[in-house]
Amino acid sequence: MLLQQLVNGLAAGCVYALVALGYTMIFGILGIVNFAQGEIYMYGAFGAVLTLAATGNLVLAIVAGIAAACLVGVLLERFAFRPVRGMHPLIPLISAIGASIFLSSLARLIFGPEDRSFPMEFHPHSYQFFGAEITELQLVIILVSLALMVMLWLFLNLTKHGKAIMAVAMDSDAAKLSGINVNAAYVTTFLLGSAMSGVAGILMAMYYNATAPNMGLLPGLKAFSAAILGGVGSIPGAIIGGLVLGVAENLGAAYLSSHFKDAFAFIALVLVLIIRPRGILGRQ
Amino acid sequence: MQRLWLLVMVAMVVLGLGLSEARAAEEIKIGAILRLSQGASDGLPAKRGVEIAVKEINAAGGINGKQLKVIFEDEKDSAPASVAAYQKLVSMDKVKVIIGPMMSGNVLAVAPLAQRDKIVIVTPNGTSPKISDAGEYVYRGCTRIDKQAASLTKYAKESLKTTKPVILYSNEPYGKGCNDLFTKCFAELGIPVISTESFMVGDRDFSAQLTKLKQKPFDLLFIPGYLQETAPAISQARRMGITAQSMGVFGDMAPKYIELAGKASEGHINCSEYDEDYNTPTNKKFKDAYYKIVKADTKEPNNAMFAAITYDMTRLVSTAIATKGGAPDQMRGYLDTVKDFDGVTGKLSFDNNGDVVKQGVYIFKVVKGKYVKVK
Repeated sequence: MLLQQLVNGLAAGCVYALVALGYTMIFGILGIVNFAQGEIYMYGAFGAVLTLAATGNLVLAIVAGIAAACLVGVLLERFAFRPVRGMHPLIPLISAIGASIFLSSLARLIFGPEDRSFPMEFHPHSYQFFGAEITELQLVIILVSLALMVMLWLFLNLTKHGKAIMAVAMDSDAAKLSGINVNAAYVTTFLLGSAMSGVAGILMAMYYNATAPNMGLLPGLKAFSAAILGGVGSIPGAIIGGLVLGVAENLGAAYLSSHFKDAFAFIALVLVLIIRPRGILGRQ
Repeated sequence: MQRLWLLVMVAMVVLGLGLSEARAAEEIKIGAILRLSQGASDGLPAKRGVEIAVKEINAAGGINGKQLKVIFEDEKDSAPASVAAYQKLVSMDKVKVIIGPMMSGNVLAVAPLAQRDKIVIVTPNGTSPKISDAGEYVYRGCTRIDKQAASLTKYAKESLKTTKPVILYSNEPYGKGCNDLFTKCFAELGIPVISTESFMVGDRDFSAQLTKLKQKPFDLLFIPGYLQETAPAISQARRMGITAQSMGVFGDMAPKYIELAGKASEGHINCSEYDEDYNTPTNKKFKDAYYKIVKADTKEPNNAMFAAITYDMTRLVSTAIATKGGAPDQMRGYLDTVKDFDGVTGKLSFDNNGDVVKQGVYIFKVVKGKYVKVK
């Protein structure tokens, strides 16, 4: 059962990690917490589900989902964060919470309150290894997430745009002085963070077969915790944080009690923060 | 000249006020507190049920010539919000009767106030046994959860031959209450529940709990909760290779459940308060009106049961006002004595606790993607 629970935890953790990457990138570069990250995730899921229902084309649906998430992310940056940039840190925070409430209410108005199923059935095929079972969808979730993380790392470390983002994150004034377009770096960050959350939303819409306006709330909170757990601002930290959180809550539920499944995620968070206040890989 | 204008304006305002007063006097207002934002997939059908009833009543000339008007408030899935909605309806809109709230916890929060103010409240689907003792001004339109539990567990024992049930419940007051009650009911029938797990509202990943349940063999998987969680839970269970019979509470009685759970819903057993094929002219009229609304808008949630209950309750209340008068005690005089009211959820009466009395609980089974009545 241990191995099985590890697999379950890893699949959930990968999704937390994807959303946590959005939190951590935006925090790293802007110093703000984007509490609307869960809503971006939800719009990604809706974009894919609605497109698939209309066209029946899975590839198109995935593209549309990511596009929807990116659009929401860019609009957020433009209308919720840019006007309040440089103000007291509480102000962008309130703006983010407001945007989050607005976006989920808007989704309820546009899409209706009901859960939607994913308009495509997947074969419940699964692979056996060492007594544990991994379903095809779980495997897809883990592989896609890992591939995206590697791509993100390559982008940030090897491309010019990626390096520009890293430079702005280190010191935006110095970056500006050396000729980097800071606004463009902000927009790219939001685009990347939103795309990751959008993919996470689409994967979950497939896996759980339910897309709803409030689906972003809980994953949003957990991913936020994952980002803190790993050390806010650190990209490998967000990945580790997400995986640790996913595995911790599954093992907690398995060996202690499922009545407190969510609590285990947050207990893990508190424990790490007591021992290491800046998170697993956080900078000083 | 200016003074003259002022005078004309004052006169118009006074006249206007007088007119609106006069128009208001031709209306009878009732209130409704329903789940219009959180849980709107249940609350909107309930609202439609009220609206269909009101439309019919008004088309037939209203209540003794006066038009019936309903003021809707949002329950917001919270007791404080329900109390605020109640206070607004009673103190500002001066209603004497309220349909709602829908959730047991919120009914119990509003009931003491209704009792104090002598306002009739009719909850369409608060199932908690505690509502029976909440006061003589509190009525309810569905069967208590303990009676639902008794008939479902009896069915499990007699027809499904269950011997080793497990429970996977929603960790909030409703699911927790179901867990306690069903465990008790199974025990009374000599069937011990072999293991129990729970999940949170909003959870979509049940693999930890299901993996744990799979450790011991069982023959019935009972999942009490709301369909937003129970449907994904059963589909995940089937994907993990769990083949045991599945069973749920009356919230699973919705086309949405079958849509979300897909093939995993096949064979699922749940109870219900409403039988669509109940063969009366009233039910046919109601069904036509309801499905017309559902078909007209793709975003409209489809749940005939929740609409049926509020439809019945609205008609009961309006008949009470029409025959006995609009004061709360006059309405009670009707509701306490009504016998075999021609409702769409059955022939309705109320017992001494204000709980609806009808033919009993229906039990449905999902066969080829459709609900089929088995009892």
